[in-house]
Amino acid sequence: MSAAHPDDLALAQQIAAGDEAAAATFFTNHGGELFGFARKMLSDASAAEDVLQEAMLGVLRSISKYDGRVSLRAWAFAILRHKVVDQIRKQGRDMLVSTTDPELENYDNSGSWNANQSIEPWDEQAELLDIVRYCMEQLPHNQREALHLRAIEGMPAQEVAEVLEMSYSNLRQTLHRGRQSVRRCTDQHMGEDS
Amino acid sequence: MSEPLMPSCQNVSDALSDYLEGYLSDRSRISLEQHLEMCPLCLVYMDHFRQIYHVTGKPEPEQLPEDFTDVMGKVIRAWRDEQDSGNQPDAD
Repeated sequence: MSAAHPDDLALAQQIAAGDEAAAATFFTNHGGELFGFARKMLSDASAAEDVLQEAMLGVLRSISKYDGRVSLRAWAFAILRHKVVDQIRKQGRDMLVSTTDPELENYDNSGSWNANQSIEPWDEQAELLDIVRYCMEQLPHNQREALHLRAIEGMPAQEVAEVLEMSYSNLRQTLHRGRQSVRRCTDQHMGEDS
Repeated sequence: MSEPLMPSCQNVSDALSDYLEGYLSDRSRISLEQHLEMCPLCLVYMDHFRQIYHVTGKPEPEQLPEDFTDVMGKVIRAWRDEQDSGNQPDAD
């Protein structure tokens, strides 16, 4: 089977052969986005730095196993994600995985909005970005990590699904539920501010 | 499976990510847009959702830890030491 990412496979082979400069180039190119993800998921810069360090070592230790099936970047994200999950478990924080649809209660049996449902346009002057970022932090872990990974520049949805070890259709569902939850939370906070 | 001629409000809500990603078939997209033209509540919901879709999808500026270069150097040295000593713990 030929590798889908031959350049990444060549880079991985270089690193595996002990090329420290190649390893440094890879980490310098992707360290910022890896750290950003850890920071978002852990909400603690110091813990995120520790996890990044562990993930970089994890990447180097297993680099000879990289097969080029996904990009080296996505592969490194998958290792980082495992470290993040381990850290969250150590901290004793709940790994809340939500697959429910909280929007269901908005509709009647025919799928139309409930009679008492009201949705108002948002104030264009409101600080939408700040409210949305706050609301993203309130999401269940699985929706939060999916949305953060999907926002990483140039990472295709298929690769995000690989990193999260879920099917592509499950990822789409998770992203959609996450966006719905953020919308609902944002709507509530917009209401408070107006 | 045949699609309904006019989706319900709930169908519209459920399809908005696929709509914005461009994944809907022409037939489903046209049905959804026809519903939006006739349903003011769904139109406002769609406007909210579109904003959320764009804001949550926006890459944030990257920032490295201040001592990243030092840390990276330490990590690479530790890995080389493990290799030299033939003692390589499991990655995970």
